[in-house]
Amino acid sequence: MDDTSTESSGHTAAVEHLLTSAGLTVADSEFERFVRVYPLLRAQADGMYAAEFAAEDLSLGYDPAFGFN
Amino acid sequence: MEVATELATLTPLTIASAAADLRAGRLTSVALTRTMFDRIDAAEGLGAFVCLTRDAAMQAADAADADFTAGIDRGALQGIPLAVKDIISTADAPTTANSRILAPDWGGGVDAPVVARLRAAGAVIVGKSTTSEFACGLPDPDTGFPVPRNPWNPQHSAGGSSSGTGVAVAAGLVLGGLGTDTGGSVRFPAALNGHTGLKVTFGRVPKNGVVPLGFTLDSIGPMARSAEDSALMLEVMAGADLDDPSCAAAPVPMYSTLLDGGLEGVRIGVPMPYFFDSPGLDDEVRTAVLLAIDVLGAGGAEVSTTVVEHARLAKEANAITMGAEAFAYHRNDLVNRWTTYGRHTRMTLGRGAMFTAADYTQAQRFRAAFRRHLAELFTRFDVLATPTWPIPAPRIDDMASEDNVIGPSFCGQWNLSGLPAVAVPCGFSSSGLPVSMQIVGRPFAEATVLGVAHAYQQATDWHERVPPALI
Repeated sequence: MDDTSTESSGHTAAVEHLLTSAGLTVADSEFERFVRVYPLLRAQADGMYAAEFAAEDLSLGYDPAFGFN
Repeated sequence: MEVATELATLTPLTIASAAADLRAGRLTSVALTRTMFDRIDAAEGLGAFVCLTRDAAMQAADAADADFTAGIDRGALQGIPLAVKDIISTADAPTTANSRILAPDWGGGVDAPVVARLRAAGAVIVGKSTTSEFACGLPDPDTGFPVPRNPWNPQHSAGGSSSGTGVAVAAGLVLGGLGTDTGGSVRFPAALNGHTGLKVTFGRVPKNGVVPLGFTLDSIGPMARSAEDSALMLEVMAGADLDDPSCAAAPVPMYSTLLDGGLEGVRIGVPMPYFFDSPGLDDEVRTAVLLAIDVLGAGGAEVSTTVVEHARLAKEANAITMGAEAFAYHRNDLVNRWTTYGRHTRMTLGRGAMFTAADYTQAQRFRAAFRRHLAELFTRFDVLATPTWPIPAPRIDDMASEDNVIGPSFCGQWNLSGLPAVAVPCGFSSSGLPVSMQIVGRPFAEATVLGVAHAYQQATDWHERVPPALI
C-alpha cells in the first residue's frame, strides 16, 4: 500500500468515525463526497492551530462594577 | 389602475423616490403595492417568493394611504412594499426556512422584532421571500420550494441565502427587503443580482425571531437598490431589544441624514493580498472593483493599499464556526430525519460533524487574534474596499455544495469579526451579469460604510440598472 492509498484509507476511517459519532446515517454516495471533501476541511481546521495564536485565552471577563443585568 | 399601469413603465423606483412621491400626492401606496403584485405575478418564474400576503399587504397599503390623508407620517417607509426572507417570523404567514423540517408553527405566529418595527413604521410586507434551505446549501427543486433565478439571466444563480429578496429588489418586485447574513448571505445575492445589501454589525439589529444558522455570526440586514434606501431601512430596524441578549444598546443614528455624498479625507484601505490576488478571483471582477476604487479616489478619498493578515484563515474560521454552530442547532433532526433535508443542505450541515470541539475552540482563539488585528488596522483606515464576490453569477447547474469550501470568499471575514460591510454594484461582466464592490467598516460604523457607498452611487448609476426584459 503506497502513501496515497494509506492517506485515503485514513480519511475514510476518520469520516466513518466522525459520522458514526455524530449519529448520522448517510447514503454511500454521500459518504464518498464527505471523504472527498474531508482533507480540505481537515487542512482548514489544522490552520487554526498555528503557533502564533497559542497565547489566545478565551476566558470570560466580567466588569466587577456590573452584574449580569 | 391608471397610476399603477403608468408605474409599471417607470424604473427604477427607490424607497426614497417613492417616499417623496407618496408625500407629494403623485402616488398612493395602494397603487404602488398593486403594481408590485402585478410585477411579482409576471415574474413568478424567477422564484422570488414562497408565500404572498396579498390581503394583509393591501390592507396595510390602504392604512398607509389613510394615514397620509390624515396627516400622519411615520417616516420614509410608510406605504413602501418590502419582502421578508422566509427564515424571519411574521404574524401573517408561516415561516418555513424553505424546509420540510421546520415545525409548521415555528415562530408562533408572531412578528420578529425587526418585522414589527417595519410594520410600525408603516411598511407594507408583501410576502416571504425564498431562501436557501435554513440559509445554507443550494436550491433544490425536489424540496418543493421555488428555485430562485437571477433576473439578469435566469439560467444563472441568484446567490444565497437571501436569494428571493435579492431577486425581488433587483427585478423591481419590491423596493426593499430583509435578508440575513452569516457568511455573506445578504451581500452574495446583492452582488449577483446587482443591488445594494448591508451586512450590519453583529448586535446592531435584533435577530430574535430568526431561524438561527450561526449563533455568534448571524445578522439581519437591509437589501435595497441604493445605500440611501438601506439607510432608510436600517434606521427603523436597528436598536436594542430586551429579548435579544446579543443586541447592542448602542444609539441609532438617523443614517439617511448622515449621507452627504462626500469622500474628502475618508481613508480607504485596499487589501491587495487574498482579496485581489486569489486564483479564484475573476479578472473582470478585479478590474471593475479597482475602477470603482478609482472613482472613490477621484471623489476625494485617500486610497492606499494594505494587508488584512490571515484573510484566508479568517474565511475558514468563519466556516468552521458556522459549521459547528449550525450542526449543534440541527443535530437531532440530522440524526433522525437526514433525508427530509434537501440533498445539498444535508451535505452542507453534515460537514459540521467533520470538526472537533478543539477545532471550534481554535477557531475562536483565532477569531480573537483576528479581531485585534482588525482593530489596529482600522486605526489607519476608515473603511476597507474589496470585491464582494469573486465571480459573476455562475450557472445554476454548475454549482456544487463544496464550492464554498474550495474557493475564496471575501465576506466571511466580516461575520467572524462582526464588522459592517455593504455590497455595492460597480459594473457588469462581459456576459451581462452584475459585479459588486464591498465596503467594510468599524463596529457600528454603518453610517460610514453607507456614506462611502452613497458617495459612489452619486457618481455612478450601476445600482439603478434594472433587468430590461422584466419590467
